[in-house]
Amino acid sequence: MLLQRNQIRIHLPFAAIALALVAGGVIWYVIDSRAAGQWLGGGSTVGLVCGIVAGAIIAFEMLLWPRKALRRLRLFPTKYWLAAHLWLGLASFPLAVVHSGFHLGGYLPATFMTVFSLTIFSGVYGWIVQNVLPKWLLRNLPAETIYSQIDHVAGLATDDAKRLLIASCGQRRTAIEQVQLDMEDMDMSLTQTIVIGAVRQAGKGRTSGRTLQTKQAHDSRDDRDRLWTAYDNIEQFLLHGSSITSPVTDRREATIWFNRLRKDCGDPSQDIIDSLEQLCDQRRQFDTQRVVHKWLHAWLPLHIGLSISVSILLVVHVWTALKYW
Amino acid sequence: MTSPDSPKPNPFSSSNLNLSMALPSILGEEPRIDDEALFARDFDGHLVRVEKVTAAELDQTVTLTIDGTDVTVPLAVPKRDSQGKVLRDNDGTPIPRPTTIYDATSEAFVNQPGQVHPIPTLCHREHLPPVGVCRVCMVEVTEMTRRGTRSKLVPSCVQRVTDGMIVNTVSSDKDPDAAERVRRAASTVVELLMADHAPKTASAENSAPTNNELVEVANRLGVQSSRFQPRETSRGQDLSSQMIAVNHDECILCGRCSRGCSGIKLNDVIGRSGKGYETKIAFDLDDPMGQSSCVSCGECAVSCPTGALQFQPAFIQNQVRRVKDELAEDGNQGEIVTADELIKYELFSGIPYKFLQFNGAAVVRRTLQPGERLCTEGEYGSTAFVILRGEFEVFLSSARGAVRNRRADGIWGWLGGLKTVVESVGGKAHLSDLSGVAIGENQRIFVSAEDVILGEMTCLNRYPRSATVVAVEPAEVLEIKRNILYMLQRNETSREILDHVYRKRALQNQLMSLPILESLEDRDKERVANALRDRVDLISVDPGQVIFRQGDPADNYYITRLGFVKITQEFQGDERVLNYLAPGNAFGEIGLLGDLGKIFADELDYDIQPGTRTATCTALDHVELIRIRGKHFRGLVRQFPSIRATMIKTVGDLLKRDTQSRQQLQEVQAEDFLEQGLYLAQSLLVLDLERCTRCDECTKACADTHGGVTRLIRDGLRFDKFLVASSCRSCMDPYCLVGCPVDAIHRNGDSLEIAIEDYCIGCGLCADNCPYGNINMHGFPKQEVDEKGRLRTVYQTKRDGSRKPIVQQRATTCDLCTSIDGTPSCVYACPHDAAFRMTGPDLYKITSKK
Repeated sequence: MLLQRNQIRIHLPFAAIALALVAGGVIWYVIDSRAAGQWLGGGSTVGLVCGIVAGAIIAFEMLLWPRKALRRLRLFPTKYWLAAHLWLGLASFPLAVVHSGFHLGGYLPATFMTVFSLTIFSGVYGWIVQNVLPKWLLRNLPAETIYSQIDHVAGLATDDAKRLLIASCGQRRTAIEQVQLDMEDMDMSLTQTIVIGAVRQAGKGRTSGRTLQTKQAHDSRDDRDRLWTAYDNIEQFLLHGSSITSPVTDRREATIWFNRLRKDCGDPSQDIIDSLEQLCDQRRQFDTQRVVHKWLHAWLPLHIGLSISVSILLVVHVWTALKYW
Repeated sequence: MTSPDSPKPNPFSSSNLNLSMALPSILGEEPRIDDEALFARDFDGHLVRVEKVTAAELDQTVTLTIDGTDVTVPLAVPKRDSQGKVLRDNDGTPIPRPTTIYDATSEAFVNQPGQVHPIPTLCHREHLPPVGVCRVCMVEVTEMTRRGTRSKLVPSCVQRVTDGMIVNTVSSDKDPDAAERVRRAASTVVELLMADHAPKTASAENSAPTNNELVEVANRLGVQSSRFQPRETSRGQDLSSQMIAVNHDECILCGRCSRGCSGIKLNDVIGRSGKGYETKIAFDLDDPMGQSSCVSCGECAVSCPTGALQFQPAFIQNQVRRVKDELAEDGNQGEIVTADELIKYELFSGIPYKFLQFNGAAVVRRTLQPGERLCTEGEYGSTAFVILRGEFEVFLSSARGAVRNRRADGIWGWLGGLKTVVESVGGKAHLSDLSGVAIGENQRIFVSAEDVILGEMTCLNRYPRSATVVAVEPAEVLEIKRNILYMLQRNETSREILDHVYRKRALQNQLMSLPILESLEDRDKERVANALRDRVDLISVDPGQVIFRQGDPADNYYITRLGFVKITQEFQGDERVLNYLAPGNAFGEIGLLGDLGKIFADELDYDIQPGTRTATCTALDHVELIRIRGKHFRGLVRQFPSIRATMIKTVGDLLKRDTQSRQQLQEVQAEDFLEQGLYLAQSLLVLDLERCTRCDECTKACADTHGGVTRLIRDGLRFDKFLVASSCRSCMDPYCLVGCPVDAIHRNGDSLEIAIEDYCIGCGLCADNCPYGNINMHGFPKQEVDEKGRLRTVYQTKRDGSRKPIVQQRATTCDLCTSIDGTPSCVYACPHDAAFRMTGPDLYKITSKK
């Protein structure tokens, strides 16, 4: 959840409650401890109260789970749930520390405290990540799409590229057509030339004369094969992204590759090449999105796993504490 | 072609009557090869006459005599769609088609709904392209040729009118002999059709139910029985569809079903198969109807003149039962008017009986006591009211103070804005300002049965109701659904009545509030409005149609009554948007300057370059305009001296504004905003991408709320940091409402949401109509009402004995979660406060500030 000024009204009430709980608990604890002349443990009144509050908060935090499962019951606007989850969750840690009396105790309390600390840490990490990465995504990945639809959109983009080629330079040439074309090319190379310069004087001395500067006629149909070959090179990349080795996987290499292709092709093909380059760039953005998405959400399973562990350890902790009171 | 000299025996008739011999005797003279030389096939493969028509012929008239009455009609008329809307080419010019004898006869003799047309016909309907296949509409035409007068029988639905033509129909009193000749010719055709296609259950004499036009025509022509022997082979029946029963034996192959299917609904399912006597209508590649791609829109059955395509009785009964239950559930008082009853009302007599059956409960009779409210200002009604008796008062409920929501002060505010306060921000707003009905704040209008209909504007333009209507004496109305109103528009006579009422209401008082008359006294305004009332045009413009182009000659002044107009200007080779005008605004003022510049030359110290348009104006949606011709306006200026001073100031201001607007070319983003139709949106789902963590809680919440099917896609247009998700926008002018064959999509009450009822038949028309792809088709288990009035799932039993629910496609769209509590789940479920609902202009304001 983003922390910014225009969201202060959502956060402030819960931050205030959290602060009050922590401040209240700590002040009470310090006063009692000074009176007792030592740091009080979880068995003292203040320690016990702080422990109960921290335990209640942990129980409340876990209610986020049934809330999600019962989403359609509309128990409370979710943004308030999350704000409460964040601030009260943060408050639970100092309260738990106060409850522990700055001692880790035996194996169970030590494990509990360690797992609890990791849970809080993973939550804070997630909070930071959620504040930073969406802005990064917005700025750097304009082609971002729905994460689960990346493969589908990539498939559509590949189809688009194919359709673009068919529409602009026709279907891929068949083998027979290719042979026929080679023969035509041979024929053309002998006969078809175009004048590219003015009449000029050539040679010196006895063999001088006036000649025309010519060049072999450029057949725009040549681009068809080049573009289809280019498509073959990038098709797998468009479909599967960076997991495929292709000349366009790396952004810098892709720029060089496309520039070379531009030089090889005539003017009418430049727009098509631009479109292909854009599609490749889009695919690279999808790959980046995939990575960022994992960063954005991969902490959550860890946080949930740790939270469940904390809940179990809490129950065990309460049971053992009551048993050996 | 069979030579008249060598007649061949008719192989299909066992009687002694030989057709080729009989026809000359009926006609009384030798048959001639007429001049039907040039033919072409239309989109359905029908052989049609090729007629070249030019736009100039729209303004040329011809006079002909029909049954002794001189009739003057234009040589060509504009082509219209099935709703009577004029079709235009890319330049906005009406596409002409030749005026036929049938058209001219309608014009002359059919002025009231329910009036019997002098020419009987089977294959033709005025909303369908004529094909002339049944030959029942034959008339005798006498024309002058170089060899003298020449009479011949022609099909009136495809034969164009010519000057001086003398036409005698089967109903002609002036020339009984000609009428008899026509009757005998048409009767023979009808006898032939009756021999093979007459309904088995009812003979021609006692065909009480009026749902078989063939029987009706036979009765009208006095055909008691056919002289021809019926054929022995049967073409069979097709009962595979749960909605429509097909009886091929009753099919006369008139092509009305296929033209309805392909030409009106654009489904292209129905064609023909077989040859000769085996020819029949076919669905897709001759599949059974229930297994074809037919979407069960019902258009074919509604179009069919015989019993070949009929609605299954169980379907009709379920329809009626469902509406009865709904009425009871909603506590609505009213009594369903059945098709049999409804067809007796004159206004509805032009509607096909089967359509009324299909929409079994689309008309409800309501009785009101004095003081009882018929409808309320602001409601998104999808019904209109045909007044049967009584008088009603129409007025604005109250001027609503403009309000806004803000967070509460004090402790509630500090607690995260848990409480919202509605506060007045001053000013007054009327829904009528938006929907274009100008009615004074303290004004009362009284309407009675003479006004025919009430509340039709909401149905036709899809805007909220603009006024409240209360009964002032005991009254009775028929509440009709939108699709019945659309069907009324197919009939030219009903359409004229509706147009007249609509036009009258639309112009009522609107002229008083012309922006250009703002500074005049009320008395002067009234005088001007009265002077203009019969001189202005109310014109309708389709989305995307150019009203005028930059550089065009200018001589008209426009006021937008409904819809939005985009004003663009060519600027350094690019087209830039200058502005967009909401209803109530005027444009094209510069066109008036043509002469006003000269009139005010002394007073105006401005270099006026009149006569050409300085910008291009394009309709962004369905736009209605009031057009005032320049000459009328100039006449007013001369007639009313009080306008003169105002006009000098107004014209000066307009010129300044025009210069300024040319300088203040808007940003490209405004163009995108307009082109994407966002200005029409009343409830966009906007996601702040800086806050959104892509957790998809909004989508999951939507799916959880709506039976596992999400109604939003978290992707779409981006404006600045905002993503406009693909979800229903609750447009001000929702195109999706147009054309639903069962009126399953509409707005309810005064809320914004588009509701799709459970009885959606899944034809997909609304999904096609939505320009933003926000209506999706999903498969759901089919449900029907059982005998006890409860909904039950319909199963099909497979060969192995297992039962599976029948899956039926249904349209789904965002209903703003009105079925829950009206708070959209997507917004409610967003944990990051990143999802919002806002109007298009609000989004524009936010993004423009950045």
